[in-house]
Amino acid sequence: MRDSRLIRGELLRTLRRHWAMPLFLVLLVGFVVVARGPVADARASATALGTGDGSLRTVSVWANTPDGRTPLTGKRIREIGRLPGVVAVTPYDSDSVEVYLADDQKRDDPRVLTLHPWTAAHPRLVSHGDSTDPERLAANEIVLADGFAGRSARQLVGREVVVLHTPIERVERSPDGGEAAHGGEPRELRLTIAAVHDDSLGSLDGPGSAYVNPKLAAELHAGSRATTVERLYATEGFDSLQVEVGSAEQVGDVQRQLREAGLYSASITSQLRALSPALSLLDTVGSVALWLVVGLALVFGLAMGTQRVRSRLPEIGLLKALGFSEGRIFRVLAGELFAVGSVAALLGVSLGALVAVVVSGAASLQPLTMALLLPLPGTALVVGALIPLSYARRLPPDSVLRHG
Amino acid sequence: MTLLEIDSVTKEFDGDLTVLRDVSLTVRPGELVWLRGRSGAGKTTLLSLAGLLSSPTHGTVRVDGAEVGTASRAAEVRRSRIGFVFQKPLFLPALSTVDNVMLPSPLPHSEARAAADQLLTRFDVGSRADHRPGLLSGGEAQRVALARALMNDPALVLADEPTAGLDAETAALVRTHLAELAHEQRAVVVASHDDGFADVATRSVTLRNGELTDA
Ligand SMILES: Nc1ncnc2c1ncn2[C@@H]1O[C@H](COP(=O)(O)OP(=O)(O)OP(=O)(O)O)[C@@H](O)[C@H]1O
Ligand SMILES: [Mg+2]
Repeated sequence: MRDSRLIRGELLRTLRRHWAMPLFLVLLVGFVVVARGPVADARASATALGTGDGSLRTVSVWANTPDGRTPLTGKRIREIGRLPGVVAVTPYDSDSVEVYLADDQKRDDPRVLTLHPWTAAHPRLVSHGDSTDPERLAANEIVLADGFAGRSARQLVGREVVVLHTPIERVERSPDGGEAAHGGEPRELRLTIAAVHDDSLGSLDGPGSAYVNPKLAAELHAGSRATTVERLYATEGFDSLQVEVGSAEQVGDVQRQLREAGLYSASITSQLRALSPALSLLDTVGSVALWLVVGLALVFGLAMGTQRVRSRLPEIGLLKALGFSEGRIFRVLAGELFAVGSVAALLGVSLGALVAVVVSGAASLQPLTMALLLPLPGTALVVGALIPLSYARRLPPDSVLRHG
Repeated sequence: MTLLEIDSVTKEFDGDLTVLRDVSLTVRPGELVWLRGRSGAGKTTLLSLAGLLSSPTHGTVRVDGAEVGTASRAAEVRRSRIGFVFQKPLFLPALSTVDNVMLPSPLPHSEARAAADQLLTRFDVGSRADHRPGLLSGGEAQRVALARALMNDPALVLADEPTAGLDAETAALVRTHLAELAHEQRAVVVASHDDGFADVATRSVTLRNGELTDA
């Protein structure tokens, strides 16, 4: 008789009678599939965001603190730039400007857009266009919203727009003690649309935002404030800054230092942190669950192996009396446990896959994890049962006579 | 030519209980030896030595003229040369009756199944083939055990109380079957309290106070 028949018979008997431990393995394996599929998926995309997406590495700083105004001058900006973890600091004041398409849009029908400096927080927003180096925008480029002036992204990218702008050359003290701005002639600035952004992605700045090179943004801002860039840096200061931090992990630290410096700040990352303990708990459980499967199967293997050998001494004696070798006895007993573990793994993987597909679609399945899970419980059961099984293989054949 | 040769065998348990003392017995093919003795005399002990299920404290046991040294060699001889009917019929509950009978068979499945069916029919339990062994009656179980003992076409058949608990008619049938086995030139040793073996045995021996005498 072939061993496989023996193993199959005992497998069915185990599943009929001693199903508690296998069932536990089924549920645990199913949980691992879900935890390492959809849950790990969520974590992986969060991690990708955290490292790849500048918006999670960005801290916004405002001059207006609850206890008064702290002007964000060049000196301040340099101080912030020296804080550990800080990569770059960009003045982040916005201005309303009038913009129209250079060729065919009537210049007396411009759109009013809010203009921001282009920083590390923004490349994520690009939905169409040149994203080879989304970190930088040239001085003659602009990023504006998909659908600008009723045009699609494809129609917009590469075309020129005109931005109406009033540069200030110098500010002079007037005889009556006030100040007067000089040179404020309205000018037309021609910029090329480098990319378009998609407001639906949840832009930081709301719909109707456009982005230009930070230096240009500062000039435009000075113009709308009737001052010069130099004076903004030297005395007047900016209303807000964007601070780029080296990694999302350092954001909390940087915010703490800013708080200590009397500055009010906010970040997406700290807001996400507040929501995440539940997710990270689930994630932690998910990552140890695989080891839980191994550990539990080892313990179950010891328990099942001991229980089996004890209750089946006469049966093992019978096989020995019929001439089964020690190796064959071991193979049969180990085969039974491996089969029980593998059936539990198969059921568990199927169950987990079903749940994962229902919850978050077939794409969330992790074939590698599932393939790894299939032989794992069976192998661990056998390893856990090694001691009782090697005891069984050495049982004297006449034990069949005394325990029957 | 002797098939089984037990030579000056002593068997002690736990150092102080001597069950067999300087026992010798040879059995040739075609012989049916009836082993007698009171309960506790050591019949099962002697059969288990003959069947290489245990080893003697002193003396030698030879099957087919060769002394069996290692445990794995003993298993090999049990598998190929010996059929054993245990005093208490024992089966694997996970397998059907016929699968239990097929256990010792070295043949491929379909041939083994045919041979097992043939043996079960021979002992009049063919209709029980696909039952769970736990559902067999005591007498049926004895005959199924006999069928299993013959599955490897053994040269030496050792039967321990094969007619215990059987009605007179069935017991007579089993005795006849065992006699047939001897006619087939197998060596047969039967330990039994059943006096019916007087008619079919070629020879009888008795265990008394650990010693074996012809009688
Ligand atoms: N493994 C063992 N350890 C200790 N004592 C044993 C062992 N096996 C058998 N004995 C003892 O050896 C003696 C002979 O036992 P055995 O089973 O051979 O008797 P038996 O002649 O077959 O009896 P019965 O007719 O009742 O089956 C008994 O006293 C028994 O208790
Ligand atoms: Mg006995």
